[in-house]
Amino acid sequence: MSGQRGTAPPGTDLVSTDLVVTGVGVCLPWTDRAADAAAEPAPGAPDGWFDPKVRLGRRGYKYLPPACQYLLAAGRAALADAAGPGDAEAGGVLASVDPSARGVAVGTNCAASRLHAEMNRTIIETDADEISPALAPFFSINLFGSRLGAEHACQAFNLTLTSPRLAGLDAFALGARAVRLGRAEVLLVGVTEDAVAPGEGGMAGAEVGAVVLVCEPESRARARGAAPRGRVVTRTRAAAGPAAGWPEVGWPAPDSGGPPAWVTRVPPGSGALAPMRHLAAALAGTVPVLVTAAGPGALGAALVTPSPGTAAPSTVTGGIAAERGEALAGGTR
Amino acid sequence: MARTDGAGEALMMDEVMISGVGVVSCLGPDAGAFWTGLGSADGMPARADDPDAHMRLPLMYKVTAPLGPDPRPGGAGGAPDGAPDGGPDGGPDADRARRFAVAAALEALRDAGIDPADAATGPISVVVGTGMGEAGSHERAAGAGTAGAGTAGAGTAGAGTAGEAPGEDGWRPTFTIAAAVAEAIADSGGAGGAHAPVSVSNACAASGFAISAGADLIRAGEADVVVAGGAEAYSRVALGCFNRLGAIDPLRCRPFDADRHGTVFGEGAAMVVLESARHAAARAAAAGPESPHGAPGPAGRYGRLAGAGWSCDAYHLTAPEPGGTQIERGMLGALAEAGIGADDVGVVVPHGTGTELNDVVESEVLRRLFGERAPRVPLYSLKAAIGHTGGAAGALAVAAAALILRHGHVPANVAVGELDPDCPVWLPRVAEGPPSGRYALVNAYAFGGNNVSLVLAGPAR
Repeated sequence: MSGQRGTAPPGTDLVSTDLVVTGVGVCLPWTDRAADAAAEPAPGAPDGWFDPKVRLGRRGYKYLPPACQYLLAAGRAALADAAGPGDAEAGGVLASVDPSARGVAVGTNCAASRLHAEMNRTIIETDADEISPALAPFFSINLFGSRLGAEHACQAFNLTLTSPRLAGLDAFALGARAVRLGRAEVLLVGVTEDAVAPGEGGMAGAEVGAVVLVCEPESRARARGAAPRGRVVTRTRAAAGPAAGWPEVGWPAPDSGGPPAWVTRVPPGSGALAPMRHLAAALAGTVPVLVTAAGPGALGAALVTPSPGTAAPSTVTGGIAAERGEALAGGTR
Repeated sequence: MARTDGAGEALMMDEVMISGVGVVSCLGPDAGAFWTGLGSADGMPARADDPDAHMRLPLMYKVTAPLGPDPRPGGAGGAPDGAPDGGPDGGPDADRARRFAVAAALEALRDAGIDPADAATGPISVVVGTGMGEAGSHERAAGAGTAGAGTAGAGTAGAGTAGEAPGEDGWRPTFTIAAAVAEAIADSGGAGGAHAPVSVSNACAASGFAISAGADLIRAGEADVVVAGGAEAYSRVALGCFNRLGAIDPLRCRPFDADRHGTVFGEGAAMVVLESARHAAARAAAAGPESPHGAPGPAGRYGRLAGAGWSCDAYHLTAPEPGGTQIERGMLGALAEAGIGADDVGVVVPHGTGTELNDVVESEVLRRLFGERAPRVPLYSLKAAIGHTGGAAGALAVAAAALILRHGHVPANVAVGELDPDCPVWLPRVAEGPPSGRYALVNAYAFGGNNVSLVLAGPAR
């Protein structure tokens, strides 16, 4: 990764520009804080880092697959973060939004990988009837996001995106476009991942955890007294190559006007979580950041512009925080 | 800006034309075989060719036609199905879903008269729905005793191409079909999409959402040409879990039959070429190749994708909401976006899976939608002919609807037994046509209560 200066695009062709992020929820093995989400973790996760009874409640969650539990926890955190004055008394951030206007878009690559491997082994070695009836529906990867939508009565739509590594950026783009086209008013965008199954390789880059954002029109956020965390504009492009900078993802060349931003090239992992982790961290920062990532034959980027005065201090020294420090110390900004 | 079609109807420049169709199914390797087979299919599945499928009902409607070659360098050839299983590293059963998808996508582009290498074509975006991606290849690797860390990863054929992540640690992602389609289009000389290829995985509604999302790209002014659709191949895990849930019919897929006991999965892919009205108009004057389906010109030969409605039950992981409130909202949303009423609909390609409650709920909502006209609105019950193709089902239904509107008649439905009295639908047993309305309604539903309805407007006559 490296820091470099660029410029925001003069406009966007992808995402409603009046959509703001009002809540960020993070559920990662090393932190629940957005500001710390960009730290590069050790592969895997320590045993017992997530207790569904503590994080979600004593009933109804124990037998959900881990990636579903992570997503639900991140969703709750995001909605709590999005709360404005009086929202709690009113029944929550979504209480004033008709269920038919609540949309969900979730990206994942590996939420069901280990589950599939275990089911496959069960069928081969014994019989499909030995599969747990509680887990059997989760062969379908859309149920991870659907469970989030059901928890919050989101009836506008529930999209699951699975593009390798860019599924989170796709979730944001498709969800935001759907809002712009009138399919919803408020959007929950998330990514959740669990470790890859052994047969899929990529164990060293395995990702575990979830991130959820609450997105809504700025006018709505202001009306309920909520402070936007910032704005996100995404762009993807069909092209081969590693995570790139401004021109590779098709945005205008640096220094052609507009606010400056730092570039974070997300290292390739075995899933779609890393770009969203960096996006969440950038929303907790103070300067615009272009988060770029690469999938097979695909480049993606998210320009994250945090709102002034909403930065949360970072407690980590690695990852994106250190990169900013280096870039600032180098006098490029 | 606007132009008018032959019927004098104003076409806005951001409207979405359907210019090409490509299909791979158990009925054959292309859209021609699909259309011919719709009216003559016997509707009988076969036993899955999988000795490791330890389950009560390992039934499938399997694609048996020779496949096109695997587009990856070193990929499998076009041997007919039934040859020895090659697993993920090669052989005729490797990466079946992506091969279905690529074959259907390239056929759809040919049908549309679009040459990806033609500079006038511009970028071609790709949106593909699939429930399981290439899970089947991973499963076969395990079944062959080759599972293990990295076994199916680094060093396999095609590593580094669209189907394989470029990472150094050999991660082999499951959902690579959209990337494979984009790569195949690029290999045909395409300039690359305005967007990265998008993989949508809303289970059995995935490709319905994919086609709608592709249309949204055009409506939002972000793309002019989109290849959108879906693909699904045999998955031991998917079929095993449906067995575990008691959702497989022991005989065949027979939606709306009083004796139905579930669904039966099928393999296949369908892709449509969506094109902005502006793009279609720009090339309308150019002579295009004759469609194998007999259309006079390539641009918008199948009419328009006129509307889409999305909804979510947010009710139950697997069962539909019994009142059908959200699927009705989806249908009404699609009609509203198309600017039409229910009386304008001449044919329905329902979701109709054969699962007991799904068929009852959908039938009841169609009865509410069409009112006293309901007994006279023909349905084409596609899954009775090709099985439930999972994430590809919505796209195959759209392909069927597009061909019905193009040809002007509804094929004879595959015979089922006595109709369920709680399913008051009309499944004509002889070809019906032309439809009494110019529009077709397509439904696609999924686990999680994910619902999408699409309205197609037939071509001007």
